[in-house]
Amino acid sequence: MFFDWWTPIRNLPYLLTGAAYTLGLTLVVFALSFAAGTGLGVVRYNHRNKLAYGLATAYVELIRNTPALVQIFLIYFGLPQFGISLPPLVAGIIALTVNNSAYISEIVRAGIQVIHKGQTEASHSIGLTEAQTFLFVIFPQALRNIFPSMTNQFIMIIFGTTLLSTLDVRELTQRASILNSETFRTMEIFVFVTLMYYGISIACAAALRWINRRYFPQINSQEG
Amino acid sequence: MDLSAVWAYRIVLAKGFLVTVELSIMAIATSTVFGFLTGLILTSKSKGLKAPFKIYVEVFRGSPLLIQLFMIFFGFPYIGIQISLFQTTILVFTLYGGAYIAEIIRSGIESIPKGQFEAAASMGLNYAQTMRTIILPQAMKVSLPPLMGFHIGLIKDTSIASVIGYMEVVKEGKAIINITAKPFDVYIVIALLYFVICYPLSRFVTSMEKRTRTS
Amino acid sequence: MINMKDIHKSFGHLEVLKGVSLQVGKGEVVVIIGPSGSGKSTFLRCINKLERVNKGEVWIDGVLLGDHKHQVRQMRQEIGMVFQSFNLFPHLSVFDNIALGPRLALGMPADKVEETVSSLLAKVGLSDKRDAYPGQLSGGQQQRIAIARSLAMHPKAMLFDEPTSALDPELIGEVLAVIKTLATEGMTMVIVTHEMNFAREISDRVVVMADGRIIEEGPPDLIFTAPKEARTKAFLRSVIDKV
Repeated sequence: MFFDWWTPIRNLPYLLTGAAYTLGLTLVVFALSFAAGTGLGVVRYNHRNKLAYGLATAYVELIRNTPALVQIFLIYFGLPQFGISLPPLVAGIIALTVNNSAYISEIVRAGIQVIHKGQTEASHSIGLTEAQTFLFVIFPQALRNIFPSMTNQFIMIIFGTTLLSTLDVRELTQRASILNSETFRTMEIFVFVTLMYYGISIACAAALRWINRRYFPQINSQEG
Repeated sequence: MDLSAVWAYRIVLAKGFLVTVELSIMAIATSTVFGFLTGLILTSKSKGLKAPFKIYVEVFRGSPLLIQLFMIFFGFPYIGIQISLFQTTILVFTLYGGAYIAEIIRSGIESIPKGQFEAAASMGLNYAQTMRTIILPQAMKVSLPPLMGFHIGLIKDTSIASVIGYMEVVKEGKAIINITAKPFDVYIVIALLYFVICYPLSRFVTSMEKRTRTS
Repeated sequence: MINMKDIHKSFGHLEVLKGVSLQVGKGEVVVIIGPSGSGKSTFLRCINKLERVNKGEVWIDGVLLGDHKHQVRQMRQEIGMVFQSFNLFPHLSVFDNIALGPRLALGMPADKVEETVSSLLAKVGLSDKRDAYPGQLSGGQQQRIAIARSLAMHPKAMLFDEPTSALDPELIGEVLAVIKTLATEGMTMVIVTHEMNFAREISDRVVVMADGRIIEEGPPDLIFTAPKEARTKAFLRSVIDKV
């Protein structure tokens, strides 16, 4: 059995472009999902507006209990039934954002919930408004809490982008398939790309951990 | 949106859904058994024994399911191993799920305080007895909610097998769409089918989590 | 200054305050003592509306306090509160902890903030800790910072909810010293505490609560040496024995 490991290596530029696509997609989806997810998470924590809470809960439960692939197909293949035709990249980003916002909302909600009630009381007792309390006291602490889960979610998004290969978005997985159909060096290519994904996820996890250490230094808290 | 077109093909959809359920149950069963054993191995003290399994878990947790499916499904025939679609899918889900479950089991076991092991040893129990009567019962309490949560994820992940042609509900859906030209209706129904299974299970997991927190 | 009229408060079916009335004059130091579960902390928290009353009126400085958010927030700037568990903001430095209120709620300019915070740090004896984080401080130091944080709002009155109960014994003294300083400076204070000697020393008036009611009140010497109520006697005996 003759393995030609040079094929994937020779095509590294092509594959690396795919990896860049993958990372770019991930960053965009992460940013959008984080914004939307935080909003949803706060609404879900707050209970106050019953209508908003109900809608947010319905959204989160529906998204989290159906497969991402079906959501992607609904948006890309399904919407044209109503005359809404989106380009694959746009449909993919929207679908992945819709999907990840639901998971991030739960992470944010949990992150806010574990913050000691005394923090809110202390803020109120020095006369801060609800908004000021959230912005300056609660959210910064919540951000620290949820950082590990967010890192995990980021990696999940990287893996989620592979589903966009079904829409012929030229991210890494699709490029691997295309390269395979051109060179037929199947095992070499897919093993190589698997290791590329592994490398990407390790690198991103390390980078996020570095960000965590740099911007949220461990202020060892003896609870007070 | 009138679902009569989808209704006409309800048998096809039901058949696909049955395949999804079947595949889910098998994937859950095999990956849990394999993951459980791997998890146990990961808690052993023997570095030599652990090493290959550590690598396996790292790679299969650190790469996407779809690429793993491609690698085995297209790769094995390439290196001369004749493997069916069914065998590929079960094998990959076992390896993929097994890796995640191994981590869940491992961290559950490692969350048990060392004192428990010491107490068991001082009573003269051997490894198997210690695990069976003292450690695993406690570890399973910790691991059960994330384990079940992962199982629910596996049910949803079976949809990815459609990409390599497995005839579960999403693949059957595509065929129906080609005939009826009602993609939205079909996918909405498919989504609902998944929801009907996954939502009650999620609620069950949540209530289980609440119970273990108060116990 | 503070006038609580016939306060009733229930948590679900449990009635915790059964008609408590208290008046606190300007510059007065009132200490509330009593057995656990008597409702002392709950009553204190009703003063700055951290707990909503089911019945009764809260008057601050001659103004009846409604539930209107803006009015309540205004009042809270004028009445400081120090908590048993300090509740410092762990992600902010000591300086920022104290400065947050003046900056955000009072809109104080930066130079005034610097002046205020520095003088308060000096007052509580922790000027060298201005850049430290709460997690690096001892309990006693954290509580003194918490007091400084409340004082930064220039309150008209201060509420203390068991300020030393969470502290190791050797750290209690430094916090009590700061509170005593405030008393001599004429701050209006309501203090819930278990520290009997401190209560005796610092208070102008002692209020004894039990089972959600005030059972006795009077000057400290009277209450501690010649209490009228049997319940008070029993309580004091149980506490003094421990001292």
